[in-house]
This record gives sequence, C-alpha cells and structure tokens, in this order.
Amino acid sequence: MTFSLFFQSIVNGLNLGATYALIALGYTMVYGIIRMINFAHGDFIMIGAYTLFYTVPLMVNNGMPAWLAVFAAIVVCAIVGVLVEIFAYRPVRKAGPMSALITALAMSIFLQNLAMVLFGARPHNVAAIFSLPSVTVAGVTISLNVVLTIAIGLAIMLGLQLFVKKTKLGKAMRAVPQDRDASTLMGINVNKIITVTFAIGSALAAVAALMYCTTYPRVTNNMGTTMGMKAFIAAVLGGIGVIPGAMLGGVLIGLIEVFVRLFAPGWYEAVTYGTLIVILLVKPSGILGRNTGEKV
Amino acid sequence: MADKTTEKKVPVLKAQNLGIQFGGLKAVDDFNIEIGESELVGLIGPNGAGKTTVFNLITGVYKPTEGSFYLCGQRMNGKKTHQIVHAGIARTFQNIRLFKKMTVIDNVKAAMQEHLTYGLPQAIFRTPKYWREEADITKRAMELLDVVHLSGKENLEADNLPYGQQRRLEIARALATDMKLLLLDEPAAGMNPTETEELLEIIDYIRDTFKISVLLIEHDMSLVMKICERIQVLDFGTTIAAGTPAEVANNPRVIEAYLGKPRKEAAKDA
Amino acid sequence: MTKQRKLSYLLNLIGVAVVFAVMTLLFAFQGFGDSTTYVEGVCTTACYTIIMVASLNLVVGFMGEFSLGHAGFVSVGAYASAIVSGALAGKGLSDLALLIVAVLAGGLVAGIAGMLVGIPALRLRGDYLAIVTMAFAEIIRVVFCNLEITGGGRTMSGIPKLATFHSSFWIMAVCVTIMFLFVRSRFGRTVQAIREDYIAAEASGINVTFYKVMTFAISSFFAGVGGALYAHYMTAMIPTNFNFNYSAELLSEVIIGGTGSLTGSVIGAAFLSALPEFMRQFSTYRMLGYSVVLVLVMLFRPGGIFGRWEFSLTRLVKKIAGRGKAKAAAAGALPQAAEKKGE
Repeated sequence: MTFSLFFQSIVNGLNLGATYALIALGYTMVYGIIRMINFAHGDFIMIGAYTLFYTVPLMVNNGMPAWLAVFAAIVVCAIVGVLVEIFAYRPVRKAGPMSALITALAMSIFLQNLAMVLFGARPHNVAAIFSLPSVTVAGVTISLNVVLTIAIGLAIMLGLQLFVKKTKLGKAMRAVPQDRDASTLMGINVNKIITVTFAIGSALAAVAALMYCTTYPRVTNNMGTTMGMKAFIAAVLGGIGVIPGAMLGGVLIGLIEVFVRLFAPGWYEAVTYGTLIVILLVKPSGILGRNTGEKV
Repeated sequence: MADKTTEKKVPVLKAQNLGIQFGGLKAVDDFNIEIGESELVGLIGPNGAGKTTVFNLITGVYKPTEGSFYLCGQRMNGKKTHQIVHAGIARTFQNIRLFKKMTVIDNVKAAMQEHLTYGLPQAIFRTPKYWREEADITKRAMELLDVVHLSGKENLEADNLPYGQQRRLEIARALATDMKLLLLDEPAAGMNPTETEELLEIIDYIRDTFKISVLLIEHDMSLVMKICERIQVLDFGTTIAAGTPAEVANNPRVIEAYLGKPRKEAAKDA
Repeated sequence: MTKQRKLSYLLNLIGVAVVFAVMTLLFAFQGFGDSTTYVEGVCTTACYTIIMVASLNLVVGFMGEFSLGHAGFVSVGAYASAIVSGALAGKGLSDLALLIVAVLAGGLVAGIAGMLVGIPALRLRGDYLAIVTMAFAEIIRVVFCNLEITGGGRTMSGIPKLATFHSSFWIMAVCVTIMFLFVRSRFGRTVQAIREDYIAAEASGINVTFYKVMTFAISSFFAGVGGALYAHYMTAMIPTNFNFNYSAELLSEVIIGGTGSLTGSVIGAAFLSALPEFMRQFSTYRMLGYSVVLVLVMLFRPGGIFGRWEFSLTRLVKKIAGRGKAKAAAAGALPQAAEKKGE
C-alpha cells in the first residue's frame, strides 16, 4: 500500500467514522435515557437527506449558500423525532422492553414506507452542498469537502460534550439515566428530558445526513437501515449509553470499513457485523462501558 | 451413592471458608456451616449482611472466590446452577420468581423436566412412553400441590394466586426437583400470622415426609426462634454467632448487630 | 382416554383434509374464474409463509426472545435446498421425492446454522440478542453474495419448480403439527418456563442454554423448510430477497397474529401474505399498513390478536355436541364439556 493510499484511507475512514459517530450519539443518548434501541433512528438520516434534497435547490435558487439547508433538515428531523417519541414510544414505555423494541421496529418500517409512498423507491441525488476544491499535499490528494465534514463532525461532538457537562439541561440529561425516580424527586421533568434527548439525537442525525450526502449524494427510502445498523454497532462498540464511547466507536467502525474494503471489497459488511458479534460476546458493555448484571 | 450408614455421618451441606469478593468488597467471608439430615437451620442477620449472597453461592449463581462447599460429601464448587439443582439443592426467592403466565401445575411440572426421559421424536409421535411419563408427573405434581395446600388451584395462572399462595407454590416447585436441601429465602415475608402459621405446618410436614434439610433466611425473629434447631448469624459477610436459638438470642454481638452498641460502650470506643 | 385421543387425532386429520379438499376442488373447477391460477399461487405463498412465521413464533412467542434474523435462516434453507435439488435433478427421482429430499436438506442445513449461531448468540438476551441475530443474518447474506455456488450476488435461477399448492399444503400441515406437538411437550413447557423467568428456570434444574439453543435450532430448521419451498416455488432468488426487511415482515406477522399462539401465526401469516396480493393497488401501502397495525397492536393488544389462544377442533366439536345433547336432555344434567387444553 502506498503512503498516499494509506493516508487517503485514513481521511476517508475518519469522514465515514465521524458520520457514524454522530448517528451513534443519537442511539446512545436515547438508550442511556430509556434503555431502548431506537430502530427508527437510522431513518431519521433518510428524512434529513430527503429534506436536503428538496431544500438545497431552494437555497441555491434564492442565492443563499447550499449548506444553510442543513438547518431545515435539523428542524424537520427534530420534529419527526419528537413526534415519534410522543405518539409511538411514550404510550408503550410502561409496557416493557419488548413492546418498546417492536414499536421502534414498527416506526422504522413506517418511516421507510412512508418515504417510499411520498418520494418513490427510485434513488434521488442531492445537489452538491459544498464545492471546495481538492488540494494535493506531499503527493496526497485530499478533498477539502471531506476535511470540512470531519471538522463539522468534531465541532458538533465537542459542542455536545460541553452541553451535557456544563448546562443545566445537559446535567439533567445525565441524571435521568442514573436514577429516574430520584431525578423526578429532584424536580426534573423526565418526560421533557426524554423529548429533548430525542430532539437532539434527531438533529444530530440531520447533520450526519449532511455529512453523508456530501460524500455519497444518493438518497433512498431505505438508506437508514444499513447506516443505522452500522452506527448502532459503533455505539455498542464504544459502550452504549456512554457519549464519548459513541464517538470512539464511530471512528473505529469507519476506519475498519474503509480499510477492509481496500482488501476485501465484497466482505467489508460481514467484518463490520462480525465486529458487533465479537464485542457483544466478549464485552457486551463495550470499550468504555461498565458491566452490569441482573440482581438475583 | 454410599450405603445408609456412612451417608448418615456425612452432612447434607458442608461449607468450608466459603467466600466471595466483588471488586474489593468481601460480601461473604469465611462462611462455615454443616447441616445434617432433616435439620432446620436459620440464617439471620441485618439487611445487607450477605444472607442472600450465601444462597447465591450455594446455588451456583455466583462462583465462590474462596473456600468450597459439599453436598453429601460431593464437592459442588464451580458447578452450574442446574447441575447443583440435580445434585439436590433447590431454593425459593426473596422476591417471588414464578413462571407467572403458566398454570400452577405447569409451574411444578416445569421443575420435573429432568425426571422425564422421553425425547423429541417420542414427543412428536406421542408414543406410549410420552403419555405414561406425562401422566406420572401430573400425578406427582398434584401430590406436591396437595402438600402445600394448593389442590384445586392447579389450572389457575400462577400470577393470579394471592401472595401467600405464590410463596407456597414456589416451595412446591422446589420440592419437584427432588432435592435433599431446601433453601428458603424469607418464606414468610409479607404474610399475615395465619398464613405464617400455615407455612410453618407445611415446612414441618415436608421435613418429616421427605426427610430433607432446610436452610432458612428469615427476618421474623419469633418465627426463626420457634422453628430453627440452630441459628447462624451473619453481619457484614462474616459469621458473628452460631448455636441454638437461646444461645444466639443472648449473644451480645448479635444484640449489637441488630440494635447497635449501648450508648456507654459506644462512648468508650470513641 | 386412549380412544378419545385417537378420535381427536382423527378429527384433526379430517379437519385438515377437508380444508385441503375444498381448496383443491376450488382450484380444479376454476372456483376463482380467470384468476384461479393466481389464487393458487397466492395460497402456495401463504403455505410457506405460515411455516416461516410459525417457526419464528417458537422463538419469539414461546421462548420470549427476539430474532431479527429469521430471513437469514430462510435463505440458508432456500440455497441449500436449491443446491441439493440441482445436484440430484435428473437422477431418476420423482418430483415429489426430490422436493422432500430438498426440503429436508434445506431444513437440516438451516437447523445446523441455527445451532451454530445460537450457541454463541443465546448467551445474550433481549435487545442485544435481537441485534446479534440481525447481524448474523446480514453476515449470511454477505456470504451468499460472495459464494460462486449461490450465484455470487446475482440471481440464482433455474431452480426446478417442484413445489405445488398440494405439496406445500401438506408440508405446511406436517410442520405446523410437529411444532404444535413440540410446544405441548416437556420441551415446550421448559421453553415457556425460560421465557417467564430464566433465573427461576435455572433454579428449577433447567439447563437454560441447552433448551434455548435447541429451540432456536428447531425454529431455524422450519425456517429452512419454508425457505426450501420458497426456492422451489419461485425458481429464482437473490440474496437481497432475504434482507432485514424480510425478517421484519415475518416478525410483524408473528406479533400481529399473537406471540405464543400458533393459531395466530397460521391465520396471521395466511391472511397477511394473501391480503395485499388480492388488493394489488394497495401493495405499496402494505408495509405501511403493517407498521401502523403493529403500533396499534402494541398499544391495545400487546399479546397480538390471538394472544396465547389456540384453536382446538376437538374442543369445538365437543362444544357443539355438548350443546346438542343439552338441548336434547332439556333440563337434564349438562355434560361437562371438558375444556382441557390440547387433547
């Protein structure tokens, strides 16, 4: 492998990894707070991507920079996320983990098929959002678009970390998973916190959609399934429920995928899924998570 | 299996220096006990003393980090829960764990799984062996339900039984495993005096009829004092006293563990 | 008692045979007019879907664990059987014999795959197990996409069309009967105990891991049988047919029909796989409808439409006979319509 290819792969891996990390954050935050795998989370990216597809030309036609469309995507995703939470997840929350899992699965199927009914099964191509040139440094050609998306991803993650550590709302978000009843007694409105968590998680998915569409502009109604699955693997790898874990896991999965694809293009997905199986069997709590057993 | 005479001498349960550490915490340390045939021993101690942990060690839920324990002379360390059950130790749970959505009789039958020998093909072709064995365990399950005074309730869903009856069903399910040693984890918790009285009768009856030994965790002191032949007291994972109910009741360390130090002594220590 | 049992078996056999006869006659005399052939095809589809859904119910309803990768085992059965029938075609076996060999081979390979997946995976429970089964199914799909013998990611076609409505119906009847007898045996009881409380099951002397793996393998076996019928009815397939959406579809049918009710699986699968075919204009909305129904079921009837209820022909006949006798006896003593399950 040449140095140039290696370096380029690192950059591509980081780009993909940062996208996964942003999606994984949504899984992890929701799981941390209500112990539920939000299967529909992957489909929020799809919603974000469709929003971009329709709003980017709008922005361009009105003489505004294309990337402003991401704010529309953020708003749409956050609204969808909150609606799904309120109308589907909240009513079954007391019914146990299996009902929650099925409902989440149902919402995923619902969103995908709704998108198919609304937009058709044909792939759509999102217009270019960033049009930065490529630069060549020491014989390595790097697209500045990719560098920019990595930077955006890192900035968002940093911002999120500051938010949960420093703000009152962020602290409440960390308190609820620790002990929901105690949080209620401390005057935290748990339902509100859950809603906020969904809004933030979905908004991150919208940003992930922007990053993804910059590199792979194809939008389909079922793009969320594989994206979501891989981001979920990233969340589990890092330790589900742990915010830095999602970031670490995302970057690792991105790098693994890019490098395996270099050597065995047909098999890279098997390796990603295999990674998940290995982590779950060896250390289900993930790299940064802590083990918990059932009390007898 | 050895002949009757030698079997008598070997204690049903023997634990030697049994202990477990969680991280740096010694939840149970240097636990020793011997229980003979048909003996009823009480295990008491304040909350968090490690009583249920002892049960979890003896039933293989936790693996002991120190010491060992024997059932009728056979070393049990490192065996899986279901293997220990087959060897002859069965238990009930502090917070009832029944097969809630199954009928009362199926709860008992489920614990007889290992007495059945028919295989998958015999189940699918419904051979005479299938019918014979199923009829046998149905009969046996009915007998056990009778022992715990639950006759006539066999087709109810376990979840629909009142609390006291659920506790008794747990005992019937434990009996169904054909054990030598029964571990009862707070069997009278939440029962009213009449129910407790009924429970005591049942415990007496099963000891006499099935010749089994019982190790019992209980918070109700009057109950423990009344029925146990010997009592062992745990505090912070260590045994602080053992002996007859009268001996234990007058042991200053036990009184201290339950009621705290008298004011004068506490002042002296400080 | 024995006589009653035999009568009950006979009654059930007659019941199945009557359904078969009615369907066959309808198809033979063009009961659905021009679309008879089409309806027959839909009914064949329903037959193998029933096997897949009922087998998934063994894991979901009776064992209480979620599998999101059932389509993976279906595909193992489909490909294994197609390879076997391809190798044996033209060796002088009759179509039916070839189908039976292919179906058994598909089931066996899928069962072994289920065991191999189950041994590591079933150490996990709940969400994690669901995710791992999904991951295994994806890996199976990737493997089939890369192997030359399975078409290397392209459509594998030219599989002999061996499955007809007649053979599919009887294979389905046999499979559902076996699953039913499995559930109503010590194995079913044990598995349900594990579903209710695995800690208590372990403390009752049940080797939880063993019975879980066993059930998972049996469930995979029947998934493979369903897959084999699929392959020999469709005659062409591609690994992406068996993706996550297919698993999710099967799972929705289990849940809507009733977790823990084979009756629910049979009726649910038959109805749900046939309905959209008859209302073609709605086929785009099928999964949309499924998802809405799923959420509604979760909200209002979490156990599914049939819950854990099982249909019993014997019970029904007894009830009708009992009612007749009661009328005849007027004020006479009511015969106790024994409502014991099963028998």
